[in-house]
Amino acid sequence: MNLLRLAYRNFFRNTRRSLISGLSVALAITAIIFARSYIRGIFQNMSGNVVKLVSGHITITTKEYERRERLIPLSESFALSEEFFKALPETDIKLASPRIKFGVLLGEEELSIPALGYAIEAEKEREIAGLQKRLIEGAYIESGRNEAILGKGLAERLNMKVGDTLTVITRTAYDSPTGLNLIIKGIFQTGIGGMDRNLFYIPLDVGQKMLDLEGRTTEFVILLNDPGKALEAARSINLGDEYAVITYLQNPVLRWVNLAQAVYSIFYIIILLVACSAIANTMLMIVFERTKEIGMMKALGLNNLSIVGLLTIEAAIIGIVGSFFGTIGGTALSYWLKYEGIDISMVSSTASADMPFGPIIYTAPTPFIIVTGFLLGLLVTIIVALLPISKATRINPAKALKTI
Amino acid sequence: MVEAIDLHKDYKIGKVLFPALRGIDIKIENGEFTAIAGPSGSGKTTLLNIIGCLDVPTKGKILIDGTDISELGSKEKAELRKNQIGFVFQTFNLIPVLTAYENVELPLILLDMKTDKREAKIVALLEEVGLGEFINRRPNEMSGGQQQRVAIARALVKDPSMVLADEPTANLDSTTAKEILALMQELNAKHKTTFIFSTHDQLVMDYSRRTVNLRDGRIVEDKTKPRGQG
Amino acid sequence: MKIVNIAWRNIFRHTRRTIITAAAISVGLSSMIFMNTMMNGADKMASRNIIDFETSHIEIFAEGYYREEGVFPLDTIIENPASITDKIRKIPGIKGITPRVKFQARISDGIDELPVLGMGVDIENDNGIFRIGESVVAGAFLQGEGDVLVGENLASDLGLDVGSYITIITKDRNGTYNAYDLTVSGIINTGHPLFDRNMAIIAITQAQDLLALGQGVTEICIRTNAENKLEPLKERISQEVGSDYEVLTWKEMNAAIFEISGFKRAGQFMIALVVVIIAAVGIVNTMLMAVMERIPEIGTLKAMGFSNKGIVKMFIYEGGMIGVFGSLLGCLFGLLISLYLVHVGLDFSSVFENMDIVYPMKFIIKGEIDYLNLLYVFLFGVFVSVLVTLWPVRRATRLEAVDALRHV
Repeated sequence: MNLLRLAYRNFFRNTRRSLISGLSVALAITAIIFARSYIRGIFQNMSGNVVKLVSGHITITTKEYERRERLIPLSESFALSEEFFKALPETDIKLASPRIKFGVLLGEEELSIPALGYAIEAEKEREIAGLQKRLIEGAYIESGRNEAILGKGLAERLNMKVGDTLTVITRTAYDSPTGLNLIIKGIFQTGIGGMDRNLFYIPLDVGQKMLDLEGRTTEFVILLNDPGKALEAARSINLGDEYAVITYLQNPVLRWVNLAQAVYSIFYIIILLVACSAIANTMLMIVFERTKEIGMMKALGLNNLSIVGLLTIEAAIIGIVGSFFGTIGGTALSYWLKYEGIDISMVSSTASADMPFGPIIYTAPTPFIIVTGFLLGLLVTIIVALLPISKATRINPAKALKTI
Repeated sequence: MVEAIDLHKDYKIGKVLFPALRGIDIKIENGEFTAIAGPSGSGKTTLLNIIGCLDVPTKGKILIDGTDISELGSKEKAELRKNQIGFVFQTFNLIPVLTAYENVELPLILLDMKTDKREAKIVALLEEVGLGEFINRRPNEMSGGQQQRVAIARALVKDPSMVLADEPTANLDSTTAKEILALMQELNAKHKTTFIFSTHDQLVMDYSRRTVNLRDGRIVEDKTKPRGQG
Repeated sequence: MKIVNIAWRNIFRHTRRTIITAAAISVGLSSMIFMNTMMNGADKMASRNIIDFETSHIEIFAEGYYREEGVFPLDTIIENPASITDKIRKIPGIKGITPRVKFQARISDGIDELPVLGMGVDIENDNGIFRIGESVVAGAFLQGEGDVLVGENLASDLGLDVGSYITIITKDRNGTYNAYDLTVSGIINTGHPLFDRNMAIIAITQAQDLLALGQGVTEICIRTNAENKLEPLKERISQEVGSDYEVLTWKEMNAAIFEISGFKRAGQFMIALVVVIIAAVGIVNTMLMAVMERIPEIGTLKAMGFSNKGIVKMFIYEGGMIGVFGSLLGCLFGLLISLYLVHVGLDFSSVFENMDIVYPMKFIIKGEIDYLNLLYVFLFGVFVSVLVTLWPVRRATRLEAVDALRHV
């Protein structure tokens, strides 16, 4: 207890220096909390959209379909039989629904724009997949009707608006030409350029009929309440050899997201180390200028452990003060921009075109990011400070007291 | 000649007004070797600082060669210090990263003296203070006495009209202190430079011809030994 | 000057402290350099892919043809390319000219069908302008009509080999569906995802036939001798061909890609800047300590008649030297990482497998060092170091000599 009080007072012996050392930690923690929230914001938007609108947490398909996925082989479909539904896991499921993906060329006359259609169970997916929420214009599709909702970018490419008729020409599962006129009911926006420019949704029954896939699907998507249980749930699905059960963890986009997040953590470490150089210097100087004092303490009978303890507490106070203000700064900034958003269109005028994210980025801080930010600051401060502090143990009291 | 007329100096320590000098009248002629003596807190250092244009009096006048320095601006005072006054400190205050030679050189650089002229002068002076062999040593490679010799050389190198020494022997053992005092006396005689130093050391007073005793910011005694003594 | 000398020696008074401070700066600067090298490399690879396979330096289109990336209309084409070619052939600075036809198509191996981008190339001329011929990894370049070149990825998707038969299906300019059977003459690996995944290359005469274009082409591609000074040449060509045609440089056609890269640069620069700012706080800390511990010394110098200017100079030199030291170290370290990036590169290809990325390159990123940027980074480091030294040094100037001397 005494040690703590002494360390506390020592902090104020050179308040300015202590505060500056703390400031560099604070800046680092602010930067880290903000950067993590920012990057999480981008990726959450990206992976959230990919999971909800494309892959689900678990995708069930056939092995053959998976192998040739790029070709979208509609012939590799499977029946939505009772047996199939029996094999699905029972708990924690938010959505279990077939989705049929099909490639088409869209457009009037010679203007042929390739696009990707999804036939979905309209009512079921409305809220859960969040399509309703993402509509920026018009209304949602209804089962049994020849209707479609288009991504914003796709509508722009086609130069079409709500109420227009969209002609879809493709091939059925049996490779015969087929087509349909669809009314554009609404336009949605995910903020992900690639999705908004390429995707459109139609009701499942309409799609099945058009593609000659009644009662069948090529893909079956499951959304879970707890994504952490995806692997477990996937393993419990036992459909037989011809089926492939794929979790979202294998999705290339999401794998890329994870890699990118890992790459960024290197920067956090660099930022922290740079920040700690100030702490290391300060502790170096403290040990240096208090050589006599430390010698005196040793002469009084304090052991090395207590001296290291005393100095470590002093460093920890700097770390706590720095981390505390850094955490406040980072948290305030991140939560403010969570609602306010960062408009990156200033940097890039064509932000919406090909970016994997929208022109406005919302940070996504979590308590985890904030708490780990604080602890990281404190921990790294102490670790870095220990090196110069350990020099204090080598001070010889007799010699130290002799120096002026 | 230095002349102080009714010199007062108050310090504010926290909220308490502390009078360091309470009316000093003193005249020091050119070429004098004068000790200002007294216990600590008697105002010696304050008096020296005011004479050395480092501090300003609260009240009263101080004339150096007839000029009232309290009327000078800080730049003019810096000029005066640069040209006319040499300082020697209790803790030597050499620049630790410079060698003996370079420390002595510093005032001459400030006076923009040419390198070749500088060199002869510095070497001669360092020889004179007995440091001919230590020209290239740094302060931490020298004893306290040697460091103080460098400091004296540094104070004298620009041929000032006076050298102010604040407790020059306080950090030295008595043998070394005697040597330093003897050296200063010798230099005083040779260069005709005024030496004013503060001290509470009996030894210093023994060496000086004139001793001014201070108590609580006032002169209590001012005695000059007849020539031939000390 | 002497003050420089004092400052130089002062930085060695606490060697360890100097090193730690300088190291912090160097980490900040080397991360700046690293990012720059990486982005330059990526940009350069993208540029090379675009120029060497897709657009060459300058392209001529019929006015109104060029609307958007990924749209290939057949209603506005260059009907008589020979007349255009004749007009511009004499312009100095042009190295080669070749026409191309791009069209939306589907190819089928009899079972699966895939939308691709069809491209008709002039068999004689194309290899003088583009490098598709050099990228053939199996089989040979087009020998004549009836041959097709496909990318490596497309070949593996459809299970194609040299000698395989495929059918190409497209709508001609009158809206009629046409189909041809083709033999795979070669497989290419360009490093440009569009070409490797999504492209079927045939003889231009066959494309014209397939699309009912007559002599018409969609674009005329021009390779020049001055890759970096295209504007004057573009102007010249524009004048020559008249207002019925649109002349665009490769940079104009790919503005979006470089804008994305600009955005990434901005983001990464921000990160590096934060690192440098934090390092700068370290310098402030160090210089503040330097000022504090040298207060009696400053007093002595002032007593001797040193002006504030001289003292400020001394500390600024000192901060500047730490800055120079740290910046040199940072540039050196940054250069070393950059050299690694240039010669070895970072291999992201396993991660990006199966992903259609908008950036036209493969994901083995090789760096490209910008030596001028290296100099800027160095100067920036020194500048920041000197700038932040001003604040702690201001304290030194405010001290009165008496107070400074009394300070122990």
